Amino acid sequence: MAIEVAYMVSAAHAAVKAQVARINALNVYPVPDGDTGTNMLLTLQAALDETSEKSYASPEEASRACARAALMGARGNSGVILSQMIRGACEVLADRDSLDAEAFAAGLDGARERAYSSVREPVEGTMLNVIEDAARAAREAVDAGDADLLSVVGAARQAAHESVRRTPELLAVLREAGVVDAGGLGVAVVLDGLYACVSGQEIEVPEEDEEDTPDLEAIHAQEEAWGYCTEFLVDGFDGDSDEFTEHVYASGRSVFVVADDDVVKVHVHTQDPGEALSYAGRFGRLAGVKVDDMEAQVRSRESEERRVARVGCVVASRGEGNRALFEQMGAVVIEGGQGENPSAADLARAVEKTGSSVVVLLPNNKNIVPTAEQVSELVEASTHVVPTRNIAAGLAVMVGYDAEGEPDEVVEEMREISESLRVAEVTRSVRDARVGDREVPEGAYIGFLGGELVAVEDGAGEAALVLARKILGDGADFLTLLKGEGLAEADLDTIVDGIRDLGDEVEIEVRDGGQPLYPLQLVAE
Amino acid sequence: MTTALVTDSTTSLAPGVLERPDVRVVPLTFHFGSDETYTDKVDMSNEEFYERLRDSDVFPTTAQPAPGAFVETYEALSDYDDILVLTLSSKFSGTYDSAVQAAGMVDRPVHVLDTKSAEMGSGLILLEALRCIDEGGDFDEIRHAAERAIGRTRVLFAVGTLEYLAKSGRIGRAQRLLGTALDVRPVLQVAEGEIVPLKRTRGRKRQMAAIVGEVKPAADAGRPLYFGHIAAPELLSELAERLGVEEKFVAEIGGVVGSHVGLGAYGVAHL
Repeated sequence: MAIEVAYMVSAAHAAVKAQVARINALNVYPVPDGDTGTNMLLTLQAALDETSEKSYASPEEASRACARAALMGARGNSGVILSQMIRGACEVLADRDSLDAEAFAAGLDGARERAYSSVREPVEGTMLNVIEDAARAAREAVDAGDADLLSVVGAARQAAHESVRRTPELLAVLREAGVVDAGGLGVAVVLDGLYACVSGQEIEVPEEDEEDTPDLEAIHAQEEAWGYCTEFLVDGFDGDSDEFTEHVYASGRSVFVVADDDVVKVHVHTQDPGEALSYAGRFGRLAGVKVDDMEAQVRSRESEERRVARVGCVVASRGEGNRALFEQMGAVVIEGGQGENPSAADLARAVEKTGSSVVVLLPNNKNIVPTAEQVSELVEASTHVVPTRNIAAGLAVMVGYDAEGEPDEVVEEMREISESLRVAEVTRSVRDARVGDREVPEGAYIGFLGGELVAVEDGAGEAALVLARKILGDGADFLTLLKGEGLAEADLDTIVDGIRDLGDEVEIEVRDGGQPLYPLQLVAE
Repeated sequence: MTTALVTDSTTSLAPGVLERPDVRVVPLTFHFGSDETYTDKVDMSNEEFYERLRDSDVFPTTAQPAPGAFVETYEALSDYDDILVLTLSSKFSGTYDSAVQAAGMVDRPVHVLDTKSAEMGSGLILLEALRCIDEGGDFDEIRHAAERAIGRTRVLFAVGTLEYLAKSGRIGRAQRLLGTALDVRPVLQVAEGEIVPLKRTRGRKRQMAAIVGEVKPAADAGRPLYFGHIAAPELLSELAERLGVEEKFVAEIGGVVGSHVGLGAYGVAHL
């Protein structure tokens, strides 16, 4: 029996893709995170990549492959919970020969159970309620006796949407922000996709915005080392561009061919750069030729890095300055943070890269904490998550990291530091909002202390000082300030002077982290 | 039976010790560049040394005493039956080797002990040996007193920067603190004759709090303490106050050890 699951996964994926912008827009705080939809989509994408164009020998094999792929690709809080739902449903469906009304209801119940057990302190008014209500509706439809698969999926989907509308009644932060729960909507949209699939409808996906130029940096960061990285321009391009593109794609990996009038830019990793260049030379004049031996680069990097630490450390961080700071202190850095959550598989790869058998993970963002906690299931190393809430906190915790220390003591020391920290950050509101009894106009500088909104100001400096005053009032005496994008050097100086005026006993350390979205992050000890 | 003590200039000397006829000090030297040589704690005042350390762009280097300097000292103590030599840690300096070589060059018994410490630490060890002499102990008792003190003495200290220790090659196991991109203020310990990082702290206050936490039990138990600093007297007073003790023994660290730990360092030894 050949089992194909891709059509179901693909339907869910397409449905979320169509709604991703809408789901992203439903963030509670007017902070520029808004990535719930993206995270859920990327999680489904991982499952789709695994299952598409494949058939499996048994339902059990199909289920296991799909669940594992979702788990590997899970990003962000909502992505992790979604991956657990997929896992729960797959575990149930592994024993079924066909997807009928009863199997669907049982699968939803499995999804509900796994989702709840993956969250240590379930919160009312979230995607957990939505899956619960959907599972209950499906079960009731089956128990009523006369339901076929389509009507059961329909009942679940309808209950899910009603549940989403109720989330503000259950969760005050949603009510105050005037939104429904984003993750909950994501679950309802996934059920829409399944409904469309079972009923044979098409789902319309809005055209994706074509990016003007592909981000080559990003490709280099992700791409495995293979052959020669070859880049060049073909000026005055004359010839069959389709034939040209096809040839280049066939000649290597990580290919990008971008045409602009009669200039064509090419990026390809190939074992034979000479062939690629002489072929392209027939279509125009070559310019900006750059050829790097990637395998040699990796060999030299590896020989430098061959010493394996007794205790490894993996951090998620954004910003060039922060990367350099973390690397200097011995961590493996993966790019990811607010608005760009890494997947569990990204983190797992980084853990493997350390080569260490004990690895400390610093998520540096509360949305990455659950993803980091999944990693232990994916790697052989014993991983320990120290739940740092911003990048500045991660840096402070690194002070306790000792690559050659006694593993238990190192983890304990880093935990202790983490627990003694107060974290704060300044960001900008992305829309008009009301949080608690505060009006937050779009573009305002807003300050969070320990995750709570405590400052709404016109300038980054004012917001920073409100935060500093509160932190110092609580008795902290050592502050680390991490400058991000969008904060001028002069403003930073003003902030530092202002903090010194608040109390001459405080010691301040300033670093240029370069993180996006947060002009300033603070951590107090 | 009479016993004389010989030590080197890196041992902090409590008031009155230098005046004793039964104690002799063999100096190390320090150098700014190749043609400026100074005798430790003799040729240059501490103020002048601190100023040079602050302003000079060359790092001073240090040199152990020649064996001949120990031979002369041993020979000058011919009135005493026995000689006990207490040197700074053999992991910091070849002074111990010089003293041992010199012992083989004189035709009388000379016993050399590695204090596995320096400055305030070896200062306390010397005081224990002297106490035994003053209580009428014989050579074996004196040697035992010194050995016991060597086994028990702890030195905890804070440096303003790890740069000096790193450049002088005396950083020992504190080496691993060097890569830290943030301003980390470690608390260091002299253990088994070398420098070991005890705790990493951020900020001057936390650094001092960590030292206080380590030393408080000994201070409360009334055990002997010996303070030392390099151009940081006010930090030292604060430390003594937080430990709730009087600054009975305070050493101004000399040029040799100062060249290795840098300005702003302070610490305390206890038995």
